[in-house]
Amino acid sequence: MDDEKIVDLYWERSELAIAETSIKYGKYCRTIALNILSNHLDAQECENDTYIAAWNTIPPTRPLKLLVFLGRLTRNIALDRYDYNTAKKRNGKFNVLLSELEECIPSVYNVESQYESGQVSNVISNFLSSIDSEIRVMFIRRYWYSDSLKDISKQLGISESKLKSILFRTRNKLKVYLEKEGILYEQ
Amino acid sequence: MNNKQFYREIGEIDEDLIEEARIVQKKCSSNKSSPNKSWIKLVTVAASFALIVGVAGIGISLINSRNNPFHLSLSKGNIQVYYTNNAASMQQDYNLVSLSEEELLTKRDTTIFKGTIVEIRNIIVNMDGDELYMAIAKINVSKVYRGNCNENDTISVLLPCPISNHVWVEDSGTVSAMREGMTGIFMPIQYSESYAREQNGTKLYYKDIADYGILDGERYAFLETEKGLVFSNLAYKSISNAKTLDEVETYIKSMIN
Repeated sequence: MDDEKIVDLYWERSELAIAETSIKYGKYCRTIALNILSNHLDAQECENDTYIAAWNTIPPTRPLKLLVFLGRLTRNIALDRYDYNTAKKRNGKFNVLLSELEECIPSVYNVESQYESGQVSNVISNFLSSIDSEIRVMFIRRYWYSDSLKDISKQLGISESKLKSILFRTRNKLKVYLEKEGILYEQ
Repeated sequence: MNNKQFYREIGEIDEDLIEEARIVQKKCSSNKSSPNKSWIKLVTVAASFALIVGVAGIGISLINSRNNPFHLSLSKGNIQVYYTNNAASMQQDYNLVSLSEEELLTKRDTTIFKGTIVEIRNIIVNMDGDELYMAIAKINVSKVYRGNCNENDTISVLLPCPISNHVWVEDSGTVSAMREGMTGIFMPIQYSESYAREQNGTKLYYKDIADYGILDGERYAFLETEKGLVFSNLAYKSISNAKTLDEVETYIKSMIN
């Protein structure tokens, strides 16, 4: 079933919407959650929570890209679950990913500026649009889909060390870009 | 801003970028090559990411003629390749990395020729238990624009998905429309020993089963059909209104020369 029809089902308040979402995007959502949580049971619960969140937000929302919409919901739900789980134990793999992102964030946040919702992500989008498409795919697979370095390197047919090196340079470039755009800066 | 907040900000990036990086493939073959080949880096990113989602697979009824295994002289491990008579009721879904027209025509070393499809047969590739459904088209070459093949050659081209009236493949409209007797302009990659797929501890060299391969189901062929010219209008916006293969030929020549 195409996405538009699935969204129509949500608007009609038909429970088939969830069934169709599950068929088409269940594994996709579960994979994103699993990348963050490294726990199949938690990932399954996140997937279910994603369906509930979609049910509760459509309508009034009418997502243009259902795949991205569901992925974002899953990401945020899984991150909240990660926070909850962190109190008990850490997911080492995702913690590594988060620590990589620290390299993009200068020590001082520009407190003088108030950022409107989406402003920082817009700048990140502009940066990503400006770089080579292959590197962009690597970056987004790592930091949006939260894929492991091993999986990305295997899928792309490049060595893990090369991938790490590319991501390292890209994070540094992003940091410089953010500073240049006045979003973040170092004192 | 801490790293989790930053991670959430990344979550809100442009939807088109997220889609670009999302590659989905279901059972449709991924033409994965060796790390050194440049073409893996873009189109085969699509195949290589191979994130499988959303296959209904309801009522797959395959009548396989498994008495025709290919001779796999290069491939390693427990691999069998069979012709199959049917690939019905199978739904497949995968997305493609966006590429500019110039990238599609010049970034990879594709062979480009005009020809007529003389035969299409679906195949199953069994890689130690994982089954992939594809097809092999035999195409008689009538005009060569780029590459090593010659006029009147009949070459085998691996198609990334099976051909059937009952198979729906998102982003694979062009290949799905291929039928025997159809004339078109084709842009496959010529297989060498560098083009292989590893899975389940096995390694399939595509050269074992075909001379050439189409990189994705949408953007590497232009077909003359009863319903008009079939090709990816979205990928080739500058000729999106083209009605004939002659128009495509003129366009391709201008792009590659």
